[in-house]
Amino acid sequence: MMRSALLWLGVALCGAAPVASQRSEDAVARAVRAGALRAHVEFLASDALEGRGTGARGGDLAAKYIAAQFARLGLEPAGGDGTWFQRIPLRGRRFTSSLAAVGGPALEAGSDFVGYLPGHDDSASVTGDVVFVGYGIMAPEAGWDDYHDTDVRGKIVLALAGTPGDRDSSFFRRPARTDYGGRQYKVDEAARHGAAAAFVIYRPPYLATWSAIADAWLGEQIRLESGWTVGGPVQVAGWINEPAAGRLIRQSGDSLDRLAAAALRPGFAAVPLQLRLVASALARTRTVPTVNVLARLPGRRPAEAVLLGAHYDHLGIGRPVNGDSIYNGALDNASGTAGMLAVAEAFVTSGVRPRRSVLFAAFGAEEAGLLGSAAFIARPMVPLAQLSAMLNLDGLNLLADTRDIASLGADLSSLDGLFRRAAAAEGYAITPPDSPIMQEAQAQDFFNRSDQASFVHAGVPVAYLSFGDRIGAAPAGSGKAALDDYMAHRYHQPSDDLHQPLDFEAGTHSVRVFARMLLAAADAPARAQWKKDSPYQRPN
Amino acid sequence: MKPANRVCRHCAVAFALLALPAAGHSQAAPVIRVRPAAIDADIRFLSDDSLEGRGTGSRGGRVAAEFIAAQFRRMGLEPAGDSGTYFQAVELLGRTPSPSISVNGTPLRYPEDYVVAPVSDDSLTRVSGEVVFAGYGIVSPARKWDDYKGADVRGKVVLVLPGDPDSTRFDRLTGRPWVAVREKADVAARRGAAALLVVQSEGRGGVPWPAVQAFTRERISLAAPASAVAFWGWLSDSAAGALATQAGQDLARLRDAAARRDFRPVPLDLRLEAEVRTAVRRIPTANVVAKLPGRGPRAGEAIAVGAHYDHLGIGPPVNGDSIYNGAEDNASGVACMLAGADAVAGSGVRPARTIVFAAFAAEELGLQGSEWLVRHPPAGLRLVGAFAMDVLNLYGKTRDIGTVGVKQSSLGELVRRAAAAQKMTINEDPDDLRRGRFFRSDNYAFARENIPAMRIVNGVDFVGRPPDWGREQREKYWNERYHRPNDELAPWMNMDGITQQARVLARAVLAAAEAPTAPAWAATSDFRLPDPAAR
Repeated sequence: MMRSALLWLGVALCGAAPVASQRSEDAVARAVRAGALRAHVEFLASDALEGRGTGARGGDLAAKYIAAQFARLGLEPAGGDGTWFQRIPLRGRRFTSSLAAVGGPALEAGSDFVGYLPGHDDSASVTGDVVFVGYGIMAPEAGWDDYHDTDVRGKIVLALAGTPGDRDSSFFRRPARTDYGGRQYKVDEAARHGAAAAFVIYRPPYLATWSAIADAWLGEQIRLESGWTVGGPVQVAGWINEPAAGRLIRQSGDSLDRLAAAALRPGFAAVPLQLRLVASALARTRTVPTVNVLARLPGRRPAEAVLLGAHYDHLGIGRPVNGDSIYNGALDNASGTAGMLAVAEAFVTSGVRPRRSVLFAAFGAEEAGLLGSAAFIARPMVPLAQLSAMLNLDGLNLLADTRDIASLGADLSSLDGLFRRAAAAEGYAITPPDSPIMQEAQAQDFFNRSDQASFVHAGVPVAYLSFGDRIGAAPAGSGKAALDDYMAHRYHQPSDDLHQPLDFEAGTHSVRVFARMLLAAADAPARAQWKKDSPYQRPN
Repeated sequence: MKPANRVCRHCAVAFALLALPAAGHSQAAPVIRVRPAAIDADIRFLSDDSLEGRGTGSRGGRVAAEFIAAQFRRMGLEPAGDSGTYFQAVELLGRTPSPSISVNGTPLRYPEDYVVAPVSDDSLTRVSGEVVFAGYGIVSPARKWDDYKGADVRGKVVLVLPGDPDSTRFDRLTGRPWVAVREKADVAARRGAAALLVVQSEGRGGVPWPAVQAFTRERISLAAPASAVAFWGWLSDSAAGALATQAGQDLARLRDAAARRDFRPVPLDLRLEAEVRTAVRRIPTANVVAKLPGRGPRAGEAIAVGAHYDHLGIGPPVNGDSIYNGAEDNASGVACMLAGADAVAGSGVRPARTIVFAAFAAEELGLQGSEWLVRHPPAGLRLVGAFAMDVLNLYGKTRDIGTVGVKQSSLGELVRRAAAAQKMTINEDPDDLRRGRFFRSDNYAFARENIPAMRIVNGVDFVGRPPDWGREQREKYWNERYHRPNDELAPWMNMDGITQQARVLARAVLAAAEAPTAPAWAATSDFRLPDPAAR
């Protein structure tokens, strides 16, 4: 005990020589084994795990498997109370809703609209005048204000899905916040303006199809317990499909096309409509048991930490496709979980002892809305100010080895340099920001769609490992083509399973970049810092 | 561990200490690393309630199999199951019979006069043949006993007595369990018999009628091997007596004759016609099999290291708990096998023989998975020796390591040396043997096919405990937890003992795989000389 403490004190006094750190990064990278990656993917994505549904048997098995692997490695339990598990306080709700113009026919739930209760009420009904609020965005940094002091208190607002940037790329470009396009933001903004109900109009192009949205909202909605109490004055919310919204607006004597065109113009102001709606919903509520699985490799200065995360949950058992009802989630995200475990093994077997502690986190309930990471942020194992960086693996590149690699979010902070050095050490080029795959990542809003988003909003610098753009000697865009094929044919489908071609060597190669970066971040003299021009900063 | 076969009766027999050949040349001692935390993690996962007792054919059993496969993959061991996977499908069938049997045209009453266990995979089996009385139905070259004496029983129905004629001649403890009906059926099958009937013989080494009645329900066993009787069964004492009389014989006299070494089979001049309709159900399950390939000319020989991963699943609740977790039986054995595999794979030693690591299915249903592996060894490999682990030491550090079958084969000496390298002694406990433990676990499936095999079990000499403590723990386990829902990990348990066992296992396996000669049965072992008809 004493001897190693003195040894490490000696190392600390000498300072981390670049050669020594390079050597230990090489050792960690070498110790990341394709066999381990494959073993964990094959277990987690096997049919026996039943798609690792949140609150389901398969999800529970996955969590226990991950804990067993952490225990095998001799890591410390970091879930609290000496266990590997941090409870995610989840509440699931199913809604029955109705929507109609006052005196008009009822809309069809599912095909025309879906409604829900954002608060904790078991039932609510709102009758009110309707205001069309464009995209429903208040973005002072972009000089954008769709509300323009229009009084929507006690009224029902209709907002278009997405942002004006979806149709005119001169608006809302990075590094602007990109959650303006989502339903949650729009309902929250309506609440801040005192609306009693808020519906988002589904109108392509949008990230999801109407049937995906309708399926999701007709099924159980799972959120943090605290997530059901943030509706403020908004009692009923939901989505309206474009044709139904068009019919309602025509009754007011206006047209959706005209209003939508107006909403694209800077200076747009909300438009009260000659329309009254009745919206109501009922909820059935239950507690959903699930956990994050957390382990710690103690650092020499354990007050600070870095974190490598991956969500282990997927969609469970669902609607059958070609006779297969198990949504195995091999890439999404057995692969990232396996990558995280393989890196944890590499840290242990290579014998590195980093300056900061390293937290290894398997997050639950990501598919339900990044809820495991949100629960972690609400009750972090280390104070968030002491958490230097969060690295996230979600959808490891098991498709094919690329010549280049990208890390979403690293460029916003001092992690950028660490990422570039780690990528170079593994022989990767950095994917150009204007490459097809990076544009796709932007269009698909990948940065806000996995657990790093929870950390970003808490001010913790992050990096999210992305696919590269060029496979082997193939031309630019070949990486995007492979990703497009996955997104079109396997993403969130039962076919994201072990029958698709999986290149574990490619996945290992890419995850070695993050293994190096994780060690570099753990050993760096100073905590990672956001760049000055980043839209995100650590809280004061 | 599977329950004691009620057909078997055991009594004490002394047997000679064996002089074993010194095994092989010396080499640099391999580095054996066994991590207690890994063993604990594996047992904890495999015996968790969410695995639902790892019942054969159940989803909990499937999860266990996937878990074990993932650990093999993680260690870098090669798949040795079907089509490049770690899984070897075990063709396990549930058979429910509806038989009708007549003798010389007179129907026997079912199930008052007889019951049958179908062996054939067909849903309809017909047998028509003469009945031959073959004494106890035993052929043991090592004991110089042959009830058949070359009699032609091809296509005939063989009638035998249960048990053996003389407990001083047949080693019922660790010897070959000739008393087992399964062994008698194999002996008859090897001689081309169509069927085997055993006289119930209640009170004379046979079985009580309620045990026989169980044969009217579904029996679970493997798909039939190429040479097998179509069925075997039990004949009630009164029906057997009547048949003997009908043939002009006397059952008591036949019994007396069968006790003599010079007994010869007696044709009864009766024609038996059987029609057995069987409802056959497939039970999906698999062994999980990996290998570390050997190097050089002996790579085609394989040492098997196995532990069964199945347990009893979900069953009748005891104190409100219906999950039969099987932490000791046999999550512990699987964890020890995996720890041994990890240690061997990580030792850097690549021995001459291939090492096959196997997690067996369906042991609790009668050693089914291990028998399947013996019948279907991984492609290109001949199994030449086997170590099995079943119920290991979660109680603490010991000075001795338990064995079952240590004197039966040259494997015993390898285990003794491996234990000595860990400063431990070996201890083969007569109590264990009296419980028939040699043939109540997977090592017997190998031995039955004349492959030298033994088991590593718990010592009794615990460090820091009173002398009787170890035996007390064992009795407590058998009496209070064995095959009950409370066979679970308890806070007072620890991994010190099983870690010692895994180290000994790894050393013994490496030695067996590297030894110049393949494992061999001891000179006096009943398994050394196979039935001449087995070739």
